[in-house]
Amino acid sequence: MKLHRLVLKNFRGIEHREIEFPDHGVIVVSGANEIGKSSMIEALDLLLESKDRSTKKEVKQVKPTHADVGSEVTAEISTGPYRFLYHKRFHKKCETQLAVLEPRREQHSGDEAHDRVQAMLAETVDTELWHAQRVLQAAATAAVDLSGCDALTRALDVAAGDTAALSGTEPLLIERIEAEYGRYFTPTGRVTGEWSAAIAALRDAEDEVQRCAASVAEVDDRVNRHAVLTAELAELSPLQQAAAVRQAAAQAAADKAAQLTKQLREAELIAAAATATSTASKGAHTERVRLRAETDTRAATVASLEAEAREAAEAQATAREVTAAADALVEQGSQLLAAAQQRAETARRIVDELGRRDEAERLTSRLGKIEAAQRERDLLYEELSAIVLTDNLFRQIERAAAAVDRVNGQLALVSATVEFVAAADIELVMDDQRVSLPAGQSWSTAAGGATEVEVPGVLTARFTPGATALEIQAEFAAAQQDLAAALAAAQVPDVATARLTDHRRRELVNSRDQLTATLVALSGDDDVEQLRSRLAELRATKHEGDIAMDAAAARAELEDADAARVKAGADLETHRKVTAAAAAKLSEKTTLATLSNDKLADQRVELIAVADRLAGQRATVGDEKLQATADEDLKAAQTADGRVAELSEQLAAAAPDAVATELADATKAVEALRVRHDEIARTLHEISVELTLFGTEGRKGKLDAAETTREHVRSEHARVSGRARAVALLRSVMVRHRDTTRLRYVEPFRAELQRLGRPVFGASFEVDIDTDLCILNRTLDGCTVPYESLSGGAKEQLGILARLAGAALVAKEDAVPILIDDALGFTDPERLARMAEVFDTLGERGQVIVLTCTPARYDGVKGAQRIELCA
Amino acid sequence: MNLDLMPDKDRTVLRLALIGSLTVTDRAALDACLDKYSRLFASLRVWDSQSDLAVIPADNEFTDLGIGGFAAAAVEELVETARAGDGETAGDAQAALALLLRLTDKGSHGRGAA
Repeated sequence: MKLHRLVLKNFRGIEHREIEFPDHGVIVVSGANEIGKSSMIEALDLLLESKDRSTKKEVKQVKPTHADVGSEVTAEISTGPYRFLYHKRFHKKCETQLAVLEPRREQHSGDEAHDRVQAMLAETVDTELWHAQRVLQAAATAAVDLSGCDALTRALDVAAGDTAALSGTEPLLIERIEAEYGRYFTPTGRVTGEWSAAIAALRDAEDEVQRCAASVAEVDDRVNRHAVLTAELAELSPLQQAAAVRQAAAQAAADKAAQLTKQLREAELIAAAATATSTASKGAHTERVRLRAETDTRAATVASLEAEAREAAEAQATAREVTAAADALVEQGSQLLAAAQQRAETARRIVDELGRRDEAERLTSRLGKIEAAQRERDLLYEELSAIVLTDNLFRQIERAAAAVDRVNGQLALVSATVEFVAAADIELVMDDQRVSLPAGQSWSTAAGGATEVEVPGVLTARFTPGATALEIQAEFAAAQQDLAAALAAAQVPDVATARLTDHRRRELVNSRDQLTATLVALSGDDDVEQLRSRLAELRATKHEGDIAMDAAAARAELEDADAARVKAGADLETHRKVTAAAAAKLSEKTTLATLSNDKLADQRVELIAVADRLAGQRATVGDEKLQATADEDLKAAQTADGRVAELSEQLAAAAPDAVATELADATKAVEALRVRHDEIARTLHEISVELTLFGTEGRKGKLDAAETTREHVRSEHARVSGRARAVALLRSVMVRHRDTTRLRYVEPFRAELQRLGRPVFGASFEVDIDTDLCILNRTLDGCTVPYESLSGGAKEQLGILARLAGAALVAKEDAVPILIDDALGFTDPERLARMAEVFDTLGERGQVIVLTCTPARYDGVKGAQRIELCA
Repeated sequence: MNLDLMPDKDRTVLRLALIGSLTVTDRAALDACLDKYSRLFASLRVWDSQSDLAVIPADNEFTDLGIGGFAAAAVEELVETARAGDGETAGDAQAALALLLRLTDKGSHGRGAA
């Protein structure tokens, strides 16, 4: 098939377009987006496949938007021996026109034209291949399915060297087989449809038969059971009779045993009464004997108690004596102690007295010393008070004396010294002083004041000092006056006496101080007055009487006395303890004696009571009569016991337990048999009712019907089963052979694909193809990648190559145009160039129509013819 | 005997004992025939224990089916299996061949021949 010309009018956005296609080679139709490249393919498909009046969605959606007119498509196509011009108008004024140009001219219109074109195409074009050999924008990377293309299959058959050529009806056959298979199996091989219905029907029929058989078996079971139960019931009658006989016998035996038991009980009552009487009389007798014995015993007890009481009284007396003796001892000990204490007291008094005397003597001597010292001190004080001179006065005197000396010295210095040297013995009078001056002797005087020296009879020389000397003279006189005043105050005649007096005074003061110290030492801390009063006190308390012992002896006496006192105290304590013990003993004995007396009294009372009782009883019944009664009663009791024993034996012989057991067993057996009988009778009745009910249901008839149905269903099942198996076998064999054959087809397809692919992918390019001619994986440089895992680009390239390989394989007359719509968008430039080469090699065989918006992609296709579309 | 001539078909029970050998085509025709009459009669069944039918594909029975290639090869295999003897496998193969005849419109020619 070849497309020569395509004219579109009012198709989608295209107002009018006409394109002429070369007969063969690569035709690159380029144009901008939305210019209507893909619409061309769509238009061609609509033209060839849809009727002009079609209301299909595909047709509706191509209606132009810019004008209310019908879309028109015209194509000139050659296929096989035919070449025709085909025109259709859709939507409005629908129209179909066909002009066949070759081999004979024909003219058709309407559906006739459409049918004619369909017939021509069916005759000459492999439509599967026509659709398969397209690469559309939408499905560029989808794997191409070439398996349904007859032309390719034929081509591959030839290439595979298969001699038995296909007739072309095989796909139809396969289809029919599949349809037939579908009646029995699902595509995955599971049972379905008729076959499954047959199986289910058989199962249901068999279930029904089983159910009916079960209900019939139920009836049989009831009948059998009825027979068995009837037989059992018959067997029960004699058993019941035997059991009745046994029960009667047992009842008789039991009655007899009961009679015996009653007699025995009566005899036992009599025996019990007799025994009671015997016991009572025996008890009375025994009581009497006991009373007698008790009376004796109590008398003996009273006697022994009396003896005991006597002993106790004696012991009490003894204890009382002991106590008295002990008391006497205590008294004595007390006196001894008092004596010892008195002696010790005396001794202590003597010692004290001695001590006091000693102290008085000491005090006397001490006071004597103190008084002597005081007297001496008083003398000293007296002497001291006689001396007026004090330290102050003395210092004043000293000072005045010193001043006199100093002024005297000064006076001597300023006074003129008058020296007289006597040439002959003369006498001089100077100031009333007569001085004899032998010859050769000199005498000098200082003329401090106005001095007058007179040689009697000869002359009188007056020396009058100067003013200075006069002053000093006056000073000297003042000093002397001071001195004299001081001396007067001190009541001493002169300085030397003053000095002596002062010395004396100092000595006296020293002595006084010493005495004072001595006094302090003597009196110590005690006041003298106190000492004196103490002494007076001591002298006042002085013990009259003479003491004929010294201190040491007194002390020894005191110690002895103390020791004696201590000993006497200890003895007294011991005696007191003894006394206490004796008293305790006495009280104990007394208690004992009292107790004995009490006990004795009690016993006497009791003895009297017992004796009274005995006497009273004897008054009622005598001892002998009592004895006789007891013997009689005993005999009667023995007789009654004998009767009881006899009856017991008889009863034991009758074995009442065994009889009772037998009776119970027999009764139980009769009861059991009766229950069983009733039960069987009831069951039988129930079964009879059931059987009556079953009789109305017609179970056997149902079973027969079910079995018949089952037979029918079974044969139907067998028939369907045969058919199903047949079709399954036919299909499996057919498919197996087809796949085997396809595997052989695959090889040439694979070889062609690899031949075309090697320039593009490289020398190591290999592919695996399955029987549906789908690419399974691609191997490059030993690395195998599944088709699904390949990149978009590789998938697209492989898809194009697969289509090209298909195109290359089909026979020349079967060739259809390859339509490639804007493909290779995922392809890199290098690989694009190699793909272009492949396109080139194919262009010679038929038309390869490439639609693209980027014509540069196909620049590498050298033999390409380019058509550019513009709006 | 002609089954069509039998009266009171809806009250007649037929039990057939069939002995002999026939081709797959004939067998298909027989089956179709039995199928048809089983609907007419009250009961029509082949008495399995008394019957002995051998189906032997004839030599040229499948050569003019108008199929070739792998289909022809498949038919050949089935014919061989069918001839191999009796047993379930052979029976299934015969049934499969009969079905094939029916599906290729060849079996229908013999329909109606009793």
